Amino acid sequence: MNDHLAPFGHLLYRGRSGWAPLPDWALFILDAGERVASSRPAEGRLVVALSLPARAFAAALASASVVITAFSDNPPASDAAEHFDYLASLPEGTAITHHRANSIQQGRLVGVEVDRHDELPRVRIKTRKLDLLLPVGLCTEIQVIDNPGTLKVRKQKLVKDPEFLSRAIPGVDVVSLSATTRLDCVIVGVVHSLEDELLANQFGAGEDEDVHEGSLLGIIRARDVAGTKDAYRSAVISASSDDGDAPVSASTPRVAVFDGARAFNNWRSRWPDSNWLVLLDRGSPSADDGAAAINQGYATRLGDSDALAGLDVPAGIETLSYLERR
Amino acid sequence: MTASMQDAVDLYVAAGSLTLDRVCVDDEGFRTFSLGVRELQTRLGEDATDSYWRPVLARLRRVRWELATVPLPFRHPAFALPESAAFVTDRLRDCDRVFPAHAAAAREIAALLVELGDREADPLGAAVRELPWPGPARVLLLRDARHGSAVEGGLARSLGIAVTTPAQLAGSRVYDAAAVIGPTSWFPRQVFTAPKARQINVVQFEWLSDPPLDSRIFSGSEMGGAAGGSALPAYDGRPAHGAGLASAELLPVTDWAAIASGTGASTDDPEERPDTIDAYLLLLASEQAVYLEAEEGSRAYVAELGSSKELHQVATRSIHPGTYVVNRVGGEGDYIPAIADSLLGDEAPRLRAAQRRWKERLRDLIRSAGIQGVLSRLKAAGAPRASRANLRRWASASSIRTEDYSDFAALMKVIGLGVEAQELWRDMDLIDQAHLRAGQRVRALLVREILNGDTRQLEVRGWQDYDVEEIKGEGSLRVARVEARAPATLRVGARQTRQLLPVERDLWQG
Repeated sequence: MNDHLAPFGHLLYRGRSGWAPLPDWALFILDAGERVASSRPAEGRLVVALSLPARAFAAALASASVVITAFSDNPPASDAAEHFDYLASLPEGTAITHHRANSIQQGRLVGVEVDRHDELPRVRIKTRKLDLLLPVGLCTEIQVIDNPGTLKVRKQKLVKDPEFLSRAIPGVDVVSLSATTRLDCVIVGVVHSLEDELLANQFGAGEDEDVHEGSLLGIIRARDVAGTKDAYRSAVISASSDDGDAPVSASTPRVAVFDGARAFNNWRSRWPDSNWLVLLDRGSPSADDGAAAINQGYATRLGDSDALAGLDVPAGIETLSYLERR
Repeated sequence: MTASMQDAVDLYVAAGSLTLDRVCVDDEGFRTFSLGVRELQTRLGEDATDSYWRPVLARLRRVRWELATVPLPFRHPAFALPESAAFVTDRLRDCDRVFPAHAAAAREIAALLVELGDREADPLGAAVRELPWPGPARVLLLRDARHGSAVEGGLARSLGIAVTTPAQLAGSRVYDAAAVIGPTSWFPRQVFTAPKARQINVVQFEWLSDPPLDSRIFSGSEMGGAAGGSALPAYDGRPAHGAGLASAELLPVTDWAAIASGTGASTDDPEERPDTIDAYLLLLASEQAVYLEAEEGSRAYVAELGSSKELHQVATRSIHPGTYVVNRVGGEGDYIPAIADSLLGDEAPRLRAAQRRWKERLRDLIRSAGIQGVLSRLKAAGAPRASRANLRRWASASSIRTEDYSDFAALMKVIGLGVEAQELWRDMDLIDQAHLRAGQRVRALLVREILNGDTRQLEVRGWQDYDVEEIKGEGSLRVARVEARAPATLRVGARQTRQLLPVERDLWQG
């Protein structure tokens, strides 16, 4: 058994006979996602390619691991001062969310003020019922809404499946994860398949009779999936589209997960500064096209990589990792 | 339908624990015939390409291929061997006079074919019956779908075995055991490297060689688990009592030149007439051919039915075997203009006449002044995008108008319709909008029928017609799997594209 990513140690899936621990291949894919997300090569980018006997859930599991690894490495609290400066730079009236505990509501940014008494800067926001002044340390409770449309005036539950999430990813601040936006992972593939997998309530967390059901979406926090405009940590992009929307295409996520040959061949030049995780389903007729691109990259590699060293590769999975020039 | 986690678990278990074995069978008569076909080809040398021999060899190869890939008795009606024997015998009737040096060998192979047609022998079927079949979920994998129903009725149904082809294995179902008829090299590698059964027996004739099977697709990679159940060592195909054949030698050779000439295309037409275009030639599972425009910007709807279903509008150059293309049945040409005309209603005849009018004038001008001459005039008239490729596209029936009005105005000026330019631009815009809406309707249909519908029948047969209310009166849409694609583009009349054309079976499978 690999020493797989601790936060997912209690994750279960719904099998034929009820809840079952994740199989070795799923744990390996979680491990691979963690390794790709935590690798910071001194030069070039890391490319990890996996050839798999089936595509289902591989990109979703890998992305969950990427998101949690990136979140754990660099939690939003540590960004407070930077986030305060960012908020201070925004125009008055910018649409925002404010979360506290497990509730979230939308409002408008008023601006930054310096308190006359303690001379500390604070950011002022207004929601339907509240007028708040938040110091630097609490400003991460405020998140900017990318595409506000009509603001909702009611408070909402911030975390949809808190029991599931707290057990599935123990040790992770799920409120902060759910409330803050940072694009750590892009997932390129067949959108409707990926969304089905993100939304599938086929996962559980807990023990014995106390298992709570949930989906990977709460962990992956993919942008605009299921019609929500919630805070996000990742984005799903269609492999066959010519262009993604501007914020995603122009970003530098920590990892780009390519789910299939078309995704890799169409989009691989888009995120040169991110690490790449390439998942090829050997059952797909296009797998050889993806493999050809990987083999070419390997032939002209900057160097070898031991990113997956120490992991037991389960039967049926083929792995290759190398460093490529940016 | 998206696979569940349990489906994925089953697939990984199958891949990780696959038992892959080879079961070899023999039949002296068929071996003699198969080697005889090769000997005849070798003996003929360059004469093999002569129009006298080509149809004979094509039929002999087709018979050899079908008997080596279909587990039925040789005299089964599906093979129609008496008909093939009569065909060959008839073609060789005057061989003594035309090719006396080859007459004896030709008579011999014809006699072998006659004998095969009389025999009940069923070596492949017998081997399938004798296989251990653990579990109730059993599948027989054939290289081609053509004889699937005959095999189902003649062999598989009584054994509780499903009959399928590689394309149909794309879903997430995992079988207890599978029998694959023919050497591994005749099948897509994923049949073995992403297996849909826990046990696979490769059933083949013992005189056919088979290269080694390696499940790795990356160079320098690490494969998990034992050396891999998906691996199978090379088999040299040389039985103790005779010579063997390379399995690749039996693979059907598509006679692209004959198909092209039979469907009105030309591979060596140096003259680029304005009414002809470069096109890709595709062979479809419906035993038809279709030409798709090769010009820049030409696109077509394709569906991919794999572990996930996908629907895209892609450049025609990127359409490859295994994907499904959409064509129109029961009408001329592309389905989009037909549906667009239906949407335009009573205005359609006037608008199309206007479109034809300026296109014909442009083509006439190209014919009289040449492409270079027209380009010079267009540039002088202020067309910023006048180029050889653009001019060809503007003259083609598939383009409606230019992207930019300044090019259109210049075009109208040089063909003598300058005063009508604005009115024609508005008319062409109406057609363009109708095409856009037609495309949206087709997409909605495909989403409903393919992405969200039951595609089992489509996958089994390789093609399916969809006749729906929105395009009533315009013929149905045929979604068909692409089986092969000609290696080079061909020059065809612009009106020949997107039409389903019949193809002789021997040209395809010879």
